[in-house]
Amino acid sequence: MNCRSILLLTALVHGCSGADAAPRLDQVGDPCRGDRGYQCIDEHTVLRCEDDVLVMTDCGQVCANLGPAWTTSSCDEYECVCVPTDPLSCWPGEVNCVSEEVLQQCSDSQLWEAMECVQLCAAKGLISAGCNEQVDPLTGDHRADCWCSGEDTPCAPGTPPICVDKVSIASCVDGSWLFQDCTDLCAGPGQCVPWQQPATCEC
Amino acid sequence: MSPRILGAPFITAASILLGCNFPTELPIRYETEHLEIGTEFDDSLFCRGDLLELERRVARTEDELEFTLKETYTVYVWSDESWGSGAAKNCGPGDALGCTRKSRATIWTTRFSLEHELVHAVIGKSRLHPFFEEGLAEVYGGGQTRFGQSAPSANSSTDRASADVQTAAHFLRWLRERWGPHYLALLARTEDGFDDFEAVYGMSINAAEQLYFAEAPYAYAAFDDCDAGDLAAADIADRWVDQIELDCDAGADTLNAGDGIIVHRSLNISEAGYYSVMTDGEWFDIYRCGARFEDVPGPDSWADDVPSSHAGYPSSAYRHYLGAEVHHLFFEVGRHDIGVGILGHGQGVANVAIWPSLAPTPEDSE
Repeated sequence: MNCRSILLLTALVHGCSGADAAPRLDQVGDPCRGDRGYQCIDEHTVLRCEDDVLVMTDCGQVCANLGPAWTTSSCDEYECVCVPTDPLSCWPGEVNCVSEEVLQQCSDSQLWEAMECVQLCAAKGLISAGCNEQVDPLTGDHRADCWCSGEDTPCAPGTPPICVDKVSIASCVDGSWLFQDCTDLCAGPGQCVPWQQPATCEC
Repeated sequence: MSPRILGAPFITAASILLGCNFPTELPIRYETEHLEIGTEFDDSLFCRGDLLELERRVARTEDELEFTLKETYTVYVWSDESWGSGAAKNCGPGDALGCTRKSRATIWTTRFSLEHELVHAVIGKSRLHPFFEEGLAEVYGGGQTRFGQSAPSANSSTDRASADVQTAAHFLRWLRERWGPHYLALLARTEDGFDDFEAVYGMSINAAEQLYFAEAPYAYAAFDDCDAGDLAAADIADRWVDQIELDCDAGADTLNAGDGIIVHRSLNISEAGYYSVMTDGEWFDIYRCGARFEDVPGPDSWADDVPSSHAGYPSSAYRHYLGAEVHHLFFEVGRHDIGVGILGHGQGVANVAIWPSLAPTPEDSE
């Protein structure tokens, strides 16, 4: 008889075992994969995977590798906890919208740096649709971004229309993308149908 | 033999008691070349595509491990609830989610473990060490593999319950990719696997595992990552438009998906960026495929618009989106799988379209 023992049920399964499990690969020098923390040794030292080998590393070094603004706070369970050197300044990587068109981002040296969404989008050949903040519904992370649109950006003449979203369509007119609401084109309710070739507003 | 979905079984009881105080059998609802499958589910647990896929798994195991499944196996597939409340007693105390009794050509299992148990059926009576036997069942069960908690050679004193199956599967998958399946076929016929490893591979298992630790990726993808047919391309580059037919009874690529049915397609994204995706089906599922994954997935990579399959384990990661809406999703370069689903277990048609997004989308400020 063969059994399927899965990780979720190791406690149950091991309860029936007559033989000891193989020793875990959790000693300095053992092979590993990735670049993650593995286990805190004490509040300043972590066992982590570097270059596919488990090594003992000082959390101060781990945090310093993140950039000049980071210092170590502690080791929590299996990872070093890194905090900004200046607790009163912003956290490197932190972003928010300071106006409808300006995004600011905290630099590696804990200084706010402003970015014009118009410029950021133009650098990618797009038009700014403003700065937006939102909370990721899955991870709960706060994020702020410049949103960029393809409206009025160049298109090759003859390119067939495509749907912008469920209720608007983009047509290539005089070499640039023109957005139109299907309700306007239909003079009533309408939806863009992307699987029609070319895409059309269905009234 | 083409798989058959049988009509309502004569015996409609959810299970049959045979002299025991727990259910041992179920009404046979499906027949394939090698399998008679009994289930307690009134709705279709298997569509035609699922049955063909089970036979493909049997065929792959036969071909690569050079065995032949001669007898017809009876397979009882229980719900997780029934398994926990009695059906598991058909198996031993260490059999967590399924077992294969070769002397009776019978499998008792949950849906989760069915493919794993089929491999045991094909391998037949074996004297292999459980580390290798369970590892082969995991590999040819078809799921992804990744590094485990121990060294392969350190498992020689383990038993069926204590063997590190995750390590076994990844080590054996690496051996398959490195030297091909024929040597696994030879290994599968040995007394133990550990004692005979050097005779098969020409090196000790300790030497082999040094290579394994140096060469093996973090994870190997599931065998069926992106093996679906291509999504039909539109007339213009980087656009796809397809009309997908779903038919649980007759569709060779239609799979059961809980309350509904699903058909998968593959597409290759050559330029990273936002693409708009819409279906008039009930939903679509989407993920990025791979063959071998060198890097550990990021902590929140499962929540990416289109996650890499190895962002989830043991089941591969994917994102689920409702139909009838346009979703603007960021795609990395690479091969992708999209599954389009409809409710019910009958038949239907679903349109799907993917095109470069012009709608406002967040841009990376880096």
